Amino acid sequence: MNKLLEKIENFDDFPTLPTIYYKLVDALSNTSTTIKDLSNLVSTDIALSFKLLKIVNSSIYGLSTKVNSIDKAIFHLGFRELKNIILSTKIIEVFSDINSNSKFDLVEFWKHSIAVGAISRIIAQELGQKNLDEYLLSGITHDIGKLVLIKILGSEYNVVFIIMEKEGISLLEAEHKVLGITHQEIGLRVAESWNLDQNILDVIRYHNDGLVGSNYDQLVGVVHVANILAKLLRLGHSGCDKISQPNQLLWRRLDITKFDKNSFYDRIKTDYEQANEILIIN
Amino acid sequence: MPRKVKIDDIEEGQILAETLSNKYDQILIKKGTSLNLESHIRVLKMWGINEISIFDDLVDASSASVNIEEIANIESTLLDEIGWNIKNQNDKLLFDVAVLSSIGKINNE
Repeated sequence: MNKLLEKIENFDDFPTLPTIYYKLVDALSNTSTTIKDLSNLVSTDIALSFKLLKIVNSSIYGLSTKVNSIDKAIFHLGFRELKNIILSTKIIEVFSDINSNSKFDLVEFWKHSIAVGAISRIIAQELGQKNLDEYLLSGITHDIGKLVLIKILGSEYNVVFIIMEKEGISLLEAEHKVLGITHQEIGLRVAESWNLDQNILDVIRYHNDGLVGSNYDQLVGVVHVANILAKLLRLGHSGCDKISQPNQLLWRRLDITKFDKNSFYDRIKTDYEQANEILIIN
Repeated sequence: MPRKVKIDDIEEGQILAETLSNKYDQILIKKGTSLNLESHIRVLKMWGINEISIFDDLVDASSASVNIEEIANIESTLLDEIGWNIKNQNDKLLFDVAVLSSIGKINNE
């Protein structure tokens, strides 16, 4: 085993989600939980309450009336979406201790991930999907493996970027070569340790392929496309400049040709800016 | 790319690719205007203009303030950067949105 892989395998300080998240998951799994119970729980976390209200009142939701209480916010969101939004904000907080370096910028990384989430959410909405914030969450979680690797290895991870550039190979290939493990695999381990839903695990594992094995999955497919579009639009930076072509097999099931490109682009711009403003901790 | 159309062939919403003036050099309709079948065509007929230059592609249309060579440049630079070919309308949509974004950046400079 090489030295870096040894370091990764021996690492036992994986980030954990805050207790409020697990309290919330417990409450949600209890059928007698009321909106009031959830709102009391959320209200114990001022920063979270603040973000929740900002998100619900942003153009991302496009509600016609102003939501001025947590109860009403939860009422508008529904329980499942509440969980997705809380996870989105908490995951960003959990990794806030990572240091940027010459090859990796944490803020740019989050901007990219938020862009993928915002674009995925817009595509899903255009396609008539429900649970739109699962798409937002998917964008935010799709590359967390990179953060875990950087958390473990620090600037030693940069060798991956250097080899990728020098040999003109993909990030995944470079990770295989240098570390013997990819950000997809390590991201999956962390997400499993957090008990995230299978949908999200699939996104982490398959977003680069676009298909789950040979099967179509809308969430994975949409995130695959949104990831490429976020790179094309240079919204943030994922650490990898290469923009791969969309998986052509995907287009048999996913059709975005009816989208109006002007309004699609305008929406991406506004939603991306708003989501960044709300979610990124400076 | 802009193309010439006879005024009877103009379609609602096409974008004027040139600024039209009358014989006294007074501006009638500005480049970049979204054409309205009733009012604009009346003006054209009034001044005896039979043929105009329009954009009918959305990418061209939204970039009326950027010139044609610039758009062609943006497109070929972007194609070089991505290093893959546009194979279908879905690929094309993603590419066109990226072109819109580059045009937007130029216009804001």
